[in-house]
Amino acid sequence: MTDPAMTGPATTGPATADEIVRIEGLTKTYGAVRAVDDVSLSIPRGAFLTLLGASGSGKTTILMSIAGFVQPSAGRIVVAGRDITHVPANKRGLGMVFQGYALFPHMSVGDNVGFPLRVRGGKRAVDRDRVAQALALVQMDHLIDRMPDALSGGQQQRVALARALVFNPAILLLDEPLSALDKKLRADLQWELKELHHKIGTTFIYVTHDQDEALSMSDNIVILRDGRIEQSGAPGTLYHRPASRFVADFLGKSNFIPGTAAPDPSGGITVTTRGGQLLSKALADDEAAPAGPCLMALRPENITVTHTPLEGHNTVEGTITGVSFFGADHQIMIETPALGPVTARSHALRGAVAPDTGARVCVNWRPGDWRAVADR
Amino acid sequence: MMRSQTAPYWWLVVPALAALGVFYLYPVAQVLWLSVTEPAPGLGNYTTLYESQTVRNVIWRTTWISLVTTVFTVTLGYVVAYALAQVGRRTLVIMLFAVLMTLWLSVLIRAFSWVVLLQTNGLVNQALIAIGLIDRPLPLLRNELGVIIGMVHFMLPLAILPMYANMSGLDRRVMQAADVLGARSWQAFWWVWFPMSRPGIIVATLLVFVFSLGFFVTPAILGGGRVMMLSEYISFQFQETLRWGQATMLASTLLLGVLAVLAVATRFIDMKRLFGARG
Repeated sequence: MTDPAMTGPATTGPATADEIVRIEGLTKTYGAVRAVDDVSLSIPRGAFLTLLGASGSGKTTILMSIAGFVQPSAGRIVVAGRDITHVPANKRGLGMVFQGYALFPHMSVGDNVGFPLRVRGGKRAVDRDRVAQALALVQMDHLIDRMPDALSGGQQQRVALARALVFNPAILLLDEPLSALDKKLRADLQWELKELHHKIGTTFIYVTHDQDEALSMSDNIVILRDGRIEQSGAPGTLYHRPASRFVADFLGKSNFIPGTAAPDPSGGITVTTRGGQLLSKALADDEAAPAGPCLMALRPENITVTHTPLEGHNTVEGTITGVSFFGADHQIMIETPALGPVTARSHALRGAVAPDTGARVCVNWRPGDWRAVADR
Repeated sequence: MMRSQTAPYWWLVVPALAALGVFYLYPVAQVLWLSVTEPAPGLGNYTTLYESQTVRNVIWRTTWISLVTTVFTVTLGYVVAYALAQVGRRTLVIMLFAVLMTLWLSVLIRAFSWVVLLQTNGLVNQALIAIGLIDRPLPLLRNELGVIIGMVHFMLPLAILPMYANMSGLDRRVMQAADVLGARSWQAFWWVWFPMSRPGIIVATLLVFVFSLGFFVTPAILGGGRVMMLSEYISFQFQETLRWGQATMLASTLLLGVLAVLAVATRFIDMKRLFGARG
């Protein structure tokens, strides 16, 4: 299930007015390995697009192809209507922030940020103003004379951002820019990056393997797997309407329930589990009705754990086998005869039952709160 | 706490320190001692540094040849080190092998090979005449040119290896950053790569210059007795004229000169970092 606004057909069509990057049939092979396999993408101007995938999924290769460091084996890359597939990196005019920042260690903060202007032969006085502006944008203007090794990781990251933005590129490429930072600082910078994107309106193309990072920052996420696009769309769409077991498992967590689907007189579906229990499934507007053998994905947070069955819910009985406490909520492991082991998340204070190991409980969820996914 | 845990390990260093003391420090001390006691106690030997035109010539020539050698060696070595840092793995192995092979060959063999190549009827002169660049053989041997050619060849690996070690440790993403941010290749090289490779250049320069100052075999063979550098002159004083006081004085002067060069260098650079000691 691919969002049609996101991935264009592989054939060349007329570019839409607000499209800034168009990737057509991009393929990169290293010997027998297809690092990127026929990927096509259309990125709207001003978007915050994230390429999300595990290592080896091809996300970095795609970014490096856009940057000009990887020569594609096949396909084209068009930026603002210009085919740049064979343009050298230094003529593409893109901003880029690297993993590990890649600041020039022998230059001060100001000289680092001024570098893109200096190589373009700008006037010194004008350059100085633009450097100051770019540094102000990331709240680093007070450290203009520092050397990079006298900065913290977060500060280096901000300088790298200022350096990449100082010449007003239409596109900013970010290669796992936050991966070297600790968790708390990473969360702060995620927020700042999003603010910055909102403020300057530059198109951001962001590579990460971190699902939370992708979900919290992006307008659009492209999930990559083995060099191919697995699914793409807005974060909410991907989270609530995963097309496959892979996506449902990669973004957040899911319980997977195999069964057999049959139409229901009420307009929904009846799913018969392997244990023989009949469960109902309501269909969303855009959802195609599964028929025959199917795989259902059920998010732990959509489960309500109670002592007695809830009205209007699917209910399965089981026994609590384990509990993990996460501060705001509990993760409860429940062994059910009908579905096997099920994981539920329950609010720590407002949960309906005390999560005691060994307790007999009911696992409840609404018919609309689970989804059929492809088993891949 | 730390002290009591690390203290026992110091004993492991004792044999090495003892060997250094017996085989190195003691003879050096004796050389220093002889220079102020032979033939008569006092600094009498050192007055020759001012009084003898021959000694001054030798010292001047040694410094000059060492400087020229250093400039050529480091420049050529930089090109090779840069190439080493850019090529793929297979080419790298072959190139490194070629560099190291010259290091493994005996210095005598290398010097005499150059004699064969550079002599009046040698390969170099014959080739130049054959392609019509010159009419009669160039004097390439028994002069400063020959000495410098031989020395540069000998010193090249010593310059290449530290510079390559430095360059191979540079973060390639920094060069990619220069590239993607719009730097042309000459800008990326002179404004980013070259400054980052400066520590390697400094180590190579020091190493080659210090080695050159005390170099003996190659200048003796390729200079043919006509380009006498300090080491050869010292050897001459020891073996031919038997003026041990003069010889040890010059040896001590050379030692102090080298220490002075290193002392000046430490004022500008962090020696510990250059030679890999961190922390």
